[in-house]
Amino acid sequence: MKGQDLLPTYRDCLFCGPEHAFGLKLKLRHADGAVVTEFAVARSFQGYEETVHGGIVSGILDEVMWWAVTLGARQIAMTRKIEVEFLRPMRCEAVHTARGRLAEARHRAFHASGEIEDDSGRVIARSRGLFMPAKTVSGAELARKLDLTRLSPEMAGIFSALLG
Amino acid sequence: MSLLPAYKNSFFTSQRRLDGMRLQMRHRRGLVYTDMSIGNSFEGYEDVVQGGMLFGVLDVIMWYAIFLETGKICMTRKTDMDFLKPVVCDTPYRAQGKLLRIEDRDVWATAWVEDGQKERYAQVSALFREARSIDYERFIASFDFSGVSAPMRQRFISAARR
Repeated sequence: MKGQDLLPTYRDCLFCGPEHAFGLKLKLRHADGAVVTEFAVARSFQGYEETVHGGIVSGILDEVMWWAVTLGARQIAMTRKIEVEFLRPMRCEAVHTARGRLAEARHRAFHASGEIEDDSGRVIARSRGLFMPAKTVSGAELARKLDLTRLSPEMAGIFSALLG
Repeated sequence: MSLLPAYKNSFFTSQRRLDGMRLQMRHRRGLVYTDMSIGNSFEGYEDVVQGGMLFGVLDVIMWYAIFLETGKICMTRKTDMDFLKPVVCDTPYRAQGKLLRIEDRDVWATAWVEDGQKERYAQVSALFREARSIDYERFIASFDFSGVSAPMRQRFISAARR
């Protein structure tokens, strides 16, 4: 894969869907063995004043870990367990970077890690996740929702093969 | 059973936000709960509620449970969440939670999602820590007390005056 490769979007996902009416519209890419996204969260998702709600922080970490598992293990998986440490508040409207990595794939269990940094490189939240193969989600079902346009030929090939 | 005030701007509990979940939080016998049926705007996989959104709901429930028991405003420090079964969109569930224990500034709480047969779909345990930099009075003023009983309203206001 290239150094910087865009990943598909799930059309109406609150986090990455370009068609979601009020979602975060994260643009995810693959870079240096990780799934990465740079973003700034609007005040509409605040918990305490000017601070992004923990559910949104957790959701972003879940998102980058899920894509890291999907891409790294070539497997459609579901989150089974997620641990999150909230180290510092995530400021609304400030630029942050989230990264997810596949840490281990063993016995059909996929372990991933994630972290979010602020614009000075300080880690503000980190996570570990356990993902298991999704038994109830078909490739065809997912194919209807994923937008593979704008992908590199190699990335499009990976997802076309995964979705059957 | 007592209705709890909603944080006016909250994505999860504000009754005014058309883009939010508009959850109504209630309190009964040490438990905070909400009866919910989450729409497809918050799905992960098709017709399955996104995990981060579920965590957000449970996080809010634990926050209320801690506040009602301690009068303290706490921030989430660490969470450990299990997704046991898919939570299906537009299907009724109850999410509820309670405080577990307190050690100085550290507070532990738990919350879970269950169906009408008490079967659990997701559960979380979490460590919260008392927030030192929060202006209590200003924060409590950000709640909408519509429909909230006088004693419950007083409970919130008393905390603001500590």
